[in-house]
Amino acid sequence: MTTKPQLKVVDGKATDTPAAIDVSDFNVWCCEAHILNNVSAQFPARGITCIVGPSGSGKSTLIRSINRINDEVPGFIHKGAIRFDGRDIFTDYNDLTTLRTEIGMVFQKPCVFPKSIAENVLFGLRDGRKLSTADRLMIVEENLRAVSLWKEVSKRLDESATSLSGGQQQRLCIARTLAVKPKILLLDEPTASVDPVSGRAIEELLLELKKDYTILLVTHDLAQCRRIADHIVFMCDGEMIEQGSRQIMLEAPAHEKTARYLNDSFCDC
Amino acid sequence: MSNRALINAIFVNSARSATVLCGFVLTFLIGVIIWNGMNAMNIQFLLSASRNFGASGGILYQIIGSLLLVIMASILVLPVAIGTALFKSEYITSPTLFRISNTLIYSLNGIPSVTFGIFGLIFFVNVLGTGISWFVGSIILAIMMLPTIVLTTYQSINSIPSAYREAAYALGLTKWQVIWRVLLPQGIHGAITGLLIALARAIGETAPIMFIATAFSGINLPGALNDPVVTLPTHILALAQQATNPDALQNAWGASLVLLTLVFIFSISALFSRMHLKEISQR
Repeated sequence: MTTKPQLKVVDGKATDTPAAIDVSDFNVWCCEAHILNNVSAQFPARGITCIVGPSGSGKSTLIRSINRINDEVPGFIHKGAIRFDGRDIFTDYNDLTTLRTEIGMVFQKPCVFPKSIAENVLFGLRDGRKLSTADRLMIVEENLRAVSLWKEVSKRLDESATSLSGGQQQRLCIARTLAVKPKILLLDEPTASVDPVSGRAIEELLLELKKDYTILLVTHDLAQCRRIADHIVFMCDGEMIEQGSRQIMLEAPAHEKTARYLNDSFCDC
Repeated sequence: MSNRALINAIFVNSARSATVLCGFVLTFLIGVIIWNGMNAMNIQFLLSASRNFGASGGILYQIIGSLLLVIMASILVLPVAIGTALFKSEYITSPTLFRISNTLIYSLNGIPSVTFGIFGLIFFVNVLGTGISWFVGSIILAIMMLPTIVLTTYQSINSIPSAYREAAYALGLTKWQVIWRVLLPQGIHGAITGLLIALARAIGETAPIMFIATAFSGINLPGALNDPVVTLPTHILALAQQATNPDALQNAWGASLVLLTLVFIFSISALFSRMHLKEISQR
């Protein structure tokens, strides 16, 4: 029987939200470089957890490990456990397809496939081609509405997705991920390569989505983190330094490093 | 003029001269073939069978025979070449194995064409007892075409940004689905281009097929897989051996012009298909 892990007490300040993802003593090596060093972190269900830290701190490696996309990287070695809904993703999931449909991921650079907008939304569905036209259209509409893209593209669903702007492409990528009905959304700097207006639109979208999804967001943008995070994880030099609710992390962090980074964007670790 | 300017001028003019020389040789060669070949060219020449050991009549069955050989070779080689390119690109993780596969493919590309003919003669005709067979000729041509198609396919698949692979894996697609739905649609233009380039080379080959697949005269179309076939390159070779006969020589020029035209068609098709298919795959 599996037990659902609870979010650990962080620096004496407990959070009562159950953890959707529990990372414990997790290490990653790639090409002999030790990238993650004994990382332990708990990501609460529902809401937005922002993972922040300087470049090279291991934020992206951590979320790329959570849906095992790093398995595709030659030389990737890991030790430790990541539990999702109580199941170890490395030992309890024989089928990566199931894991990756339950834990969806959106990358920094929008990557739409050279197909139509509608085909992009349906791309990840296992039985997408067997669906009736009406069902396909319904799924396309539902997911494009979820990312507030329906009004902009409803009359040109058959046009190539590459004709969309960067911000629209990124929202399409989120719609494509939502279409496979994940429980967790991993986002690796999704606003880093789009214009500020599109970035704000994506933030608004994430605030809507957090009602239904557990969202893990890697970001370098501390202002964005202040605007939308419910929970913050601070990483530095491959280690998890501190985590807690937004209020605690911004107003009363336990570590000096955290305070310096979150207030001055500076880290000397 | 300073030394630097002089060296620069020498370099630019040398490069220009080399280009002009190259263009001149090519133009002269093609011009001579067209000039002499046009004398033999008429509908009758293209649409009738050869007679009198090729000295009279046309080259209809030689054209069909050559196309038959390369079409069958294409059917045989394409799946193997695409499979090899995909395996090299997506499945080989060991650098040593990758280097070995690269060396093997480049070595295969460097083997002289007559060696393929001798191999075919010994292995298929003598050991397996197939006899002189156009199908065996296609197999040998397919082996010769393999490296070109593998390399162009591999290059086109390998140039697909890894972001596409990651985006597809992140949606839960299996490796096979990523290959079928992401890599092949975007990389197929490389395979088609490689195929047409390889075809342009293969259709003009004489040495690999003359021992194992062709007859010089006396036959029209093959009735079975193990029948011989007449082809344009071997027909030109046979006619060139009758160089003292002006009719045979004229037909040799005519057959050369037709062969050159086929090579030109394949080469131009390769260029256009690359542009067109790449455009489609990126839409």
